[in-house]
Amino acid sequence: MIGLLLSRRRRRAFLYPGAEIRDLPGSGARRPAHVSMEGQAKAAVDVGRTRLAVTAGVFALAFCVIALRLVDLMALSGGEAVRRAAADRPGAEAVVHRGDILDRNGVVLATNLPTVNLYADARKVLDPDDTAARLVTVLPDLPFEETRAKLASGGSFIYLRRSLTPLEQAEVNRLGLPGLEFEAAERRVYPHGRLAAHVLGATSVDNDGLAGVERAFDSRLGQDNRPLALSLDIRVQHAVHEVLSEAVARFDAKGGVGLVADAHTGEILAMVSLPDYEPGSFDPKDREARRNQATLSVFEMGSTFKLFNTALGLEVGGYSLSDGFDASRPLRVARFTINDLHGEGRWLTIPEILIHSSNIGSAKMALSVGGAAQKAFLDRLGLLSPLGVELPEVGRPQYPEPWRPINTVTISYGHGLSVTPLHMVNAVSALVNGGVLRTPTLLRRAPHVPVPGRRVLSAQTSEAMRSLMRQVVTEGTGGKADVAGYRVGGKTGTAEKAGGGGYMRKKLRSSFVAAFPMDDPQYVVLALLDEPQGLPETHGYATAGWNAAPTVGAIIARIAPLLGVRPDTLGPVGPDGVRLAAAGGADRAVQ
Amino acid sequence: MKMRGVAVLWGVLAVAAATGLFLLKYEVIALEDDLAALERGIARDRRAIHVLRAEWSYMNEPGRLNRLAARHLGLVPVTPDRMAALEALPFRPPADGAEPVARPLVLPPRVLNPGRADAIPVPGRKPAFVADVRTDS
Repeated sequence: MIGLLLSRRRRRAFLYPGAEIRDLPGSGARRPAHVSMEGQAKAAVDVGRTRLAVTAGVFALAFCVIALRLVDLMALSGGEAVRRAAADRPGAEAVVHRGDILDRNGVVLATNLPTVNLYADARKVLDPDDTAARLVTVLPDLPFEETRAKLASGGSFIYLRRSLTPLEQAEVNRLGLPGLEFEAAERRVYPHGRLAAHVLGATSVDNDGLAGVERAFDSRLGQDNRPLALSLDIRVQHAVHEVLSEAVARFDAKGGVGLVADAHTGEILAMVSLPDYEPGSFDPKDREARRNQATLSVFEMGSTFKLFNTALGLEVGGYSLSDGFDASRPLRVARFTINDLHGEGRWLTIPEILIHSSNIGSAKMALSVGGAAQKAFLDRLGLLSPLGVELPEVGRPQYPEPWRPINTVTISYGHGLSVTPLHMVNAVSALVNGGVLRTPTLLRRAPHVPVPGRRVLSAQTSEAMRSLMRQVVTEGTGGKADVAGYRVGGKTGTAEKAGGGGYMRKKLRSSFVAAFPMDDPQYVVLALLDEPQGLPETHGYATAGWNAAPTVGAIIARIAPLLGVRPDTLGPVGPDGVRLAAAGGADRAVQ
Repeated sequence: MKMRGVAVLWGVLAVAAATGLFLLKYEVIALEDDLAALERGIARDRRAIHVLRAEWSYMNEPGRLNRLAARHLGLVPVTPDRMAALEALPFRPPADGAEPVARPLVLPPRVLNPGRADAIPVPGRKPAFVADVRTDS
């Protein structure tokens, strides 16, 4: 092209339009020659010049665009690099398709593990009998007949076995049989087994939540892969589970409930319901085991309700601790006679009514305050409505309608009104924490952030309840719950189970609800035993003071050091507020 | 011949740019391969970490730790009487060689900083005096 240009210039015969102003013969490059043209010729040259300029401009523009696009494609990969840089790095995308469940310290309670499912493409199977026979040699738990039938069915996608271990997969692979295929899958695993079974619940083979937290947070766990931190502390859960299992075995009880909750935040640190189950092999038909007795079952709690009755008398009735009632004679209401189990047979002060667990005194106090006020007070403590805890298994309290005087009497000592054990723990937390009721939760709350609550009790009443609960342990029926150094306070409750049109004297449900340390309660603990039996060492008694109280004592002895509660055997806290070495656990951050 | 020089210059530039782009392109491809390999490695490691975390949790199941500790360590759960406050620690004995006369052998010091605000000895601040010191000389 360069040669062409040069040769044309040499001939000088023809000038491109516009060239005459640059390269005229004899003129210097710097000094354009002037050529004058007139008339038609000038007009034609002008038109040609304009056309050429426009064409050249369009071409220049096109080449510019092509050049830019080339740079874009080659250097910047057509925007792909930008897109990729903006997209999530591999560090952010999910490994599995369902979020983990952690305890409050970041311990994994439930997670998905990658695994493979074995399925058959029966159209490709050459010989169902031979294939089934050889498969059974590798997977011995596979039923031969069923497998053979599946392989002979002709379907293109039939599950033979879910969740193979890597070893099993390798062995099936080694058989080299056509028609056997693997499918990548995930399996929900619970590393701690049955330890927190009722809280976690279970998942189906397709990893959908069936019960517990897995069900309550099913969509959250399925969509969002960030782990879900529960309020449970697995160390506390283990201690409660172990102590309660021992107690259930020792007293030959049908079941039991153990609960530990933070008195100031409503966080549940441990929730055990026995009998329990392995979440990994959940059987929906085993109703006994899958029933969460801590939140779903409602019970008549017995004398532990006298705590609320005493608070009712102090808060609503306006009584002081020196007031009292005559409990020397059985009380007759309607056609019933109210008696005392450990009758003192005299006039009792309000503290004595609680310490000696007097039904007569409690009933008289409730009657004097009145049924309507009693019902309103129990409602204020959340005992008449279902709890807002994050579980699908939530029991609705059962109470009499209408609320007759005889109901006022029986409810004063915990009969005729059924609540869940979690209701008890939550209401007792409000009694001891200064009078603020909070919603119980299974989710970890941020540490050192005040949790909003509803004031249901004056601080003075709460203070009085704390000292009364401590006295029940030091002087009354709860003596076996005391743990040296931890200032346990609580209340026993022994309820006769209803059945056969009345109450059964021999079938008891004993419970103990406690808080510690009583001068500034941090945790509330409940233990409940279903039909405990009397033992020679309990002198044949099966009441709460002999089985539930020592169970709570054993639980507190195990968990208090874990939770960093300072025993008073160490003396008063120094001015620097030095913490014990063991106290770090509760504040450890979630990973 | 100025025109020719300009043309040659542009030609050389064009060839250089083409070569440069060509080399750059291949370098980018190689880097992308490296990146993909790294990303595969990261994904593999993350899967492994995920499985290992589950295994770690399984191995740390409190019941299992309990059994292992009972079998191999002879440890028991902490009880209140096994705890001691920092205040109960004895003071550090004075450095050897200085004065071997008053060498305290006390376990719980009976008097801590009388008249001072802090009951716990602060490092670098000497206690006023320690009463009831038994000496071995």
